Amino acid sequence: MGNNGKPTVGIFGFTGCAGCQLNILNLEDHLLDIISLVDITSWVMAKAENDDGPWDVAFVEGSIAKSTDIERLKKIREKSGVLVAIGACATHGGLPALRNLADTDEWKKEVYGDDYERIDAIDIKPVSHYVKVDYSLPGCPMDKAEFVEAVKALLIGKTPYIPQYSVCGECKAKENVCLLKEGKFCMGPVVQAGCDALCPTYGAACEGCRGPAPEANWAAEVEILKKIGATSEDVKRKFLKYCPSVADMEEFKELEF
Amino acid sequence: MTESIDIKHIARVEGHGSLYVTTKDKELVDVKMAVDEGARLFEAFLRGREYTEVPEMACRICAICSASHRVASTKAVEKAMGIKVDQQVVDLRRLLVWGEYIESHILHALYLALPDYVGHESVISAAADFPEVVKIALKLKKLGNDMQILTGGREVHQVSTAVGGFTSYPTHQTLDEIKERINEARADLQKCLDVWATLEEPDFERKTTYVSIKRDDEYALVDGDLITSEGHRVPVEKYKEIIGEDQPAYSFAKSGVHDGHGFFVGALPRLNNNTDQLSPFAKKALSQLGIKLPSYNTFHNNAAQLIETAQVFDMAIDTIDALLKSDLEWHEFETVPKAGFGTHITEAPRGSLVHSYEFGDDGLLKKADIIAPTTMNYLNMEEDVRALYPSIADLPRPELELMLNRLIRAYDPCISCSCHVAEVK
Repeated sequence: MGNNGKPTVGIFGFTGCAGCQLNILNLEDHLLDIISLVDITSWVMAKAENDDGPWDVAFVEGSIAKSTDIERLKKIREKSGVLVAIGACATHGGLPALRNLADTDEWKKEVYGDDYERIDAIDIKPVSHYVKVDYSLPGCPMDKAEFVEAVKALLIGKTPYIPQYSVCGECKAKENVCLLKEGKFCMGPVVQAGCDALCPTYGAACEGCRGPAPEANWAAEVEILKKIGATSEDVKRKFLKYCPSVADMEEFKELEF
Repeated sequence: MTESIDIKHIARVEGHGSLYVTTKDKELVDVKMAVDEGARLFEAFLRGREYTEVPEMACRICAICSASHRVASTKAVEKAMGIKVDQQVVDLRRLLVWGEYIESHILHALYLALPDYVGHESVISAAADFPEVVKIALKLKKLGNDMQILTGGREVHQVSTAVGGFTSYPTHQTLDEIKERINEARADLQKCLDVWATLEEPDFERKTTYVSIKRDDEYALVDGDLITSEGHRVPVEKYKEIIGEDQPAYSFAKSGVHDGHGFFVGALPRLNNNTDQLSPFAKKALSQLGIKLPSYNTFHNNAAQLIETAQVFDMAIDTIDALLKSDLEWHEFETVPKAGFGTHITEAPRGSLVHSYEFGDDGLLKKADIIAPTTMNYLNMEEDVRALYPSIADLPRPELELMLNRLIRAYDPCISCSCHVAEVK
C-alpha cells in the first residue's frame, strides 16, 4: 500500500509496440476512476516521476528480447506482490519471437547489416519462462475490457477471470457466419476466448493472437484447415504466428501436420 | 571540467530511449540519442509472409500509429500487385487515419507535452489543477479512437482493413452519429486551443530541413510526393533521394540523414511545407496560437499538433460527407498476387512513414524497407540539442535536464517504431 492507503501499481514496458500500455491510456471512460483507486507509482510511458517500488501489482508488457531485459524483469518480480503479464509479447513471445524458429543471425544481418553481431537479440521466451506470473491477459493487443475486469478483481482480492474455452463459443453467441465455412483459415476453434470474437465479427479470420485454448481440440483444427485448402506449412504458421512459444508445448509437438 | 548529462529512459514518450550529453567547461562536446529498445527484426520476419497478412503484421510495429502503418503497408502491397480499390475504400481509410490523428495528437500534446508547460510531472497530477482540460482531452481522445473503431474495428491494430478493401463497412447511421460528435467536439478543441494560447513556448530557433509529403489539391497526410522545405520534390518511389540513413554504433536504431545533416519530420514540418493548404479551423487555430510559418522553433511541434487536429476535424467532415453520399454496400472482393515492387509514404502523426516492398509472383514478401518517422528525426534531435545547449548551460541541473527532456519530447518520439537500419547517404 502507498502512503495514501491505495494499492501501489507499476506498469512496465519491455520490447514491443506499447499497444497494451496504450490500451490502458485508451480507457477514457475508466482512467480517472482507476487513478482514484490505485496509486500508479511507476509508469515511464505516462509519468516523469517514477519510483523504484515495491508495488502491490506490476503489469508487464512486451517481449524479453535482449539479455539485459531478463535482469530488469527479475528485479520487477522481486519487488511486486502480484505480477500480471499483459499482451501476446509477454504471454507468448509475440511476433518478434518468430525468430526463435529461424536463423536469428541471418535475420539480424538482414535488418542491421554487416555489423549485426553487436545486436543483442536473444530467443524470446514468455515472461513466465523467467519469473512467476500470477495472471496473464493475452492478445495483440491486450483486451481493454479484460484489463478493467482484472483490475476490479485484484482490487477486491479475487482471481481475474480468463475464459478457457475458444473464440468459437463467443462467435457463435454473436450469431456470426462461420468463416471456416467460407473457406477462410480461421483459428477461432482453438484460440482462447475473451476478445468477444472481435475479428470474425468484422468478417476477418481469427489469427490466433490470444494463444491456444487449453481445452480445445487442436488436431481437429489442423484437419479442418487442411480440408479447406491449407498446406501443412500454412497450418503451422497459423498456430505460431502471434504466439511462437506454442512451439515449445508438448501438445503442439505431438500434432500431426 | 568534463560533465556527463545522462537522461536514461526518457519519460512520457513511447518506447525506451536515452540522451547522453557530454560537456566540458559548459561547452557541449558530444551528444548521443540512443535507443535502448530490443530488436524485433520486422523486416526479417515479414519475408516469406503472404501479401494479405503483411499489413496486419507490419502495423504491430507501433500501437500509436498502427493505422498509419496499416494504411502505408496496405497501399505499398496494392501498388506492388496493381490492386485498385474504389472511392469508398479510399475514403474509409482516410477517415481511419483522421481518427488516429485526433487520438495521437491529443495524447501527445495534452497528456504527454502539456504537463511540462504547467509544471506537472504527468497528466495524472495535472488533473488536480486542470480538471476541465484533462476531461476534454479524454473526450477528444475517445472521439479519435471511436473513429478508428468505426472504420477499422479497433483503435489499436485494426481488424477490418484488408488488402483490396475492408472486411466490413460502417453504416450511414453510425457515420451520421460520428459526424455529429465531431461537430460538437469543435467547442472542446477550441477550449484546448484557448488554454494553449496562454502557455509560454520556450524560446529556441534552429532552421533545418523540413520533410513531408505534398499534394497540389489538399493538405497531404495519406498520399503525395515527398518534398523538402528547400523545394526538392520526388515521387515516393525515389524516397532514397531525400531520406538517407545512418547507423550509429551506440544505438539500435538508424537515424535520418539529408545532405549530410539531420532533417525533421512531423506536424511542424507539415505545417511549414503545406501552409497554403490549411483548412478554415486550422487557420483560425494557427492565428490564435500566434505561430508564424515557417517556424524554426522545434517546441512549436506540440502546438502544431493541435493545429493539425483542427485541420483533421475539417477534413473528417468532408470525408464523412463523401461517404454519406455513397451506398456503403459491402461486397466480396478478391485480390490476385503478382510479383512487383511497391512503395508508399504516408504521414503518420509523428512524421513521414515509408513502407517499401518487393514481392515474388507467389505473393510472398521478398524484401521490406520500413522507415519510421522517429528514425528520421534522431540526427535532427542531436543537432537541436547542440543548438539549444548554450542557452541552457547555466541553468541548475534539474531545469537543464527538464529542457533537454522537453526538446526530445517535442518530437513526439515513438522509439519502439524506430528500430531499423540502412546505408548512409
